[in-house]
Amino acid sequence: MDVLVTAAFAFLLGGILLRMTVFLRRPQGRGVQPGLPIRGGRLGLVEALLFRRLWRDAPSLWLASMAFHGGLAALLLAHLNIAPHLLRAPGAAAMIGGLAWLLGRRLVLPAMRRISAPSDFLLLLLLLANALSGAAFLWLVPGEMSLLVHQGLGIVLFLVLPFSKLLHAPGIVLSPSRRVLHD
Amino acid sequence: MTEEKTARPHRARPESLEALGFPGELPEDWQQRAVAALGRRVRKQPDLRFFLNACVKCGACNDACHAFLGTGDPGNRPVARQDLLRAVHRRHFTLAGRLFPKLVGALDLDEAMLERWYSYFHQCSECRRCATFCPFGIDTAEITMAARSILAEIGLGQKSVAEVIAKVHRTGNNLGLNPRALRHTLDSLEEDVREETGMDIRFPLDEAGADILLVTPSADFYSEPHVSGLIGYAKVLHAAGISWTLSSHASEAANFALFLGSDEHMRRIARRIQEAAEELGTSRLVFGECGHAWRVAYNFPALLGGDVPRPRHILDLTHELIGNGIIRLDPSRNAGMAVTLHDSCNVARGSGMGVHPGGQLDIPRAVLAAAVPRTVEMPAGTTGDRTFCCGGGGGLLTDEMMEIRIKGAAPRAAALRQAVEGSGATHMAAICAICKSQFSEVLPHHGFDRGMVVGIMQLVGRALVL
Repeated sequence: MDVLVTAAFAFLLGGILLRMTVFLRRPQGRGVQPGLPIRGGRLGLVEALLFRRLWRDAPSLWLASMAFHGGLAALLLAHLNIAPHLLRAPGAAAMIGGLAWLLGRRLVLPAMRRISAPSDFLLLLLLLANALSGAAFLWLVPGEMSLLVHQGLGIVLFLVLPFSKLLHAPGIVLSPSRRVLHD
Repeated sequence: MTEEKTARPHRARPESLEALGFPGELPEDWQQRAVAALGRRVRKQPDLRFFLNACVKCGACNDACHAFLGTGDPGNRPVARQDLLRAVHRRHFTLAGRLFPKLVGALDLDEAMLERWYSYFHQCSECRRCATFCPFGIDTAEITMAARSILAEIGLGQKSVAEVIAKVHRTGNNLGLNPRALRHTLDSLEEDVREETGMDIRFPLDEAGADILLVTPSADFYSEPHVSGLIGYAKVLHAAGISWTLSSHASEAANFALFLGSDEHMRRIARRIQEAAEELGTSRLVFGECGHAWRVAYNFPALLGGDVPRPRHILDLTHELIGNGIIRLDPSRNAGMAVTLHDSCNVARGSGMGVHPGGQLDIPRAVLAAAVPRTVEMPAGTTGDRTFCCGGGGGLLTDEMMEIRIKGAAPRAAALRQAVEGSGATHMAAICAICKSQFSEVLPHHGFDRGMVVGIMQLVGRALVL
């Protein structure tokens, strides 16, 4: 199983690199640039870490996104054996809470349901299943079986992530609109 | 779908499309042709590919669009509009869309979809407010332009835009004015200004060797409040002692090919302005108050290549002349006015002005403040880079679109009402011919007098001490 997980992880990294070639393609103007001359809009990395646009325009979405992504980051560190005992419980709580919120708003708000495809729900469910199976293995039903389920779901996630909208961080940093018009 | 019926522009006649090199009618194999055109467009324009791929359906843009806010039609949400093209792109150009279309929301381009394209891509004014809400900066205008250009390639064009592009190629302006009619109009303007000021202020046409070639939207030649803006340009240039001229070859700043998303026609229309400048030997191009024209002009170096310089905006020039003390304004000549500025979308979000970032927002405000006794602002979030569209941009300024134009102006009208009731605004200034025309026509439907719509250079012209 460990071999499979490692292979899937390698696939994940390869997939991300492959997709980056699409993101990194120079946006060549077709004459009129799509850039938005927004003050202070140049710092894509800051935006990718703090989601300032969401903070300004959609605070509840910001909170849910922050909780989910923060929890995910904490759990990634824990998986790498960095302060696992400190990070696991709050990370899992934040990730599960954030995901539940994201899923809930997509299900409950008519505007969100309308713009969602089945894959939008399934991807959230996949992430949630990963988090819940990990939590179950740690705290509810420890054992071989739980670990296998969690690892299996992890493999599916690694295979899907690079080729779905789940890979969206590079888009924030590399958006053509971020090129400031003023030269 | 009643809301769609009310919001569909007239189709271009076959001969107007053929004049632009497009098929006149929907061909048998329109579906394959449209998909092929989409493929070409995506390959040529990585930006578009990014915009089609990057959406995570987060909903941050849900309430950003004036057309949605005004009509309440969910089909006018930015993400819904983008998805019309995205779904077809997904179906034909992604693995998941080919294998599991239902799962990922991929759709075929059938007749029903084509109808939706024609309706909804012509309800977008390409104002790009939504792009400022998107965490990925997805630019709906680019998607709209791509879709409209694909529609034109299969013989489905919008009547007014197609006819205007043909006219500008043929006569040099959107109105079809010939040089003699233009000279006649300018003569009568000189007469009017002489009566008003007692001075000989010239409106030169085709004068070789002038320092500046002034390019204005053709609305400036014939209707109010536009004409008063043209008078304002002439007075300022006269007072500053700058030699200038208009051109009959380039008697139009507007470039409707931007609305159509046709790079080829956009370049051709832009190039004729550059040619006029070279033929007349003028050293600098200056653009009048026209929003999308300024967006295109600001991009002249990239669009026309080589060493084509960036044109200057009349407000930027006026700002400098005021700052240097070369001209003087007396705001008391606009006594009683409290003016709020409607930032035009293409100026605020599609360009810059002067040398400092944000100049396209600051310079018009500085000139306005110098020309009137009092300026006021509409609520935050409705101006600046978040300005609401007038509701008439992007080629929507036609009679058959009146209902959606009135509804689309509702968010701006609500913001204006706050400035009127809260801060005592008496007038709203615009710096775009489309904004001025649109507001003059639709503000009465929102309970305002059409006379409250003014241009900044119009106010400058009145305040200028000659």
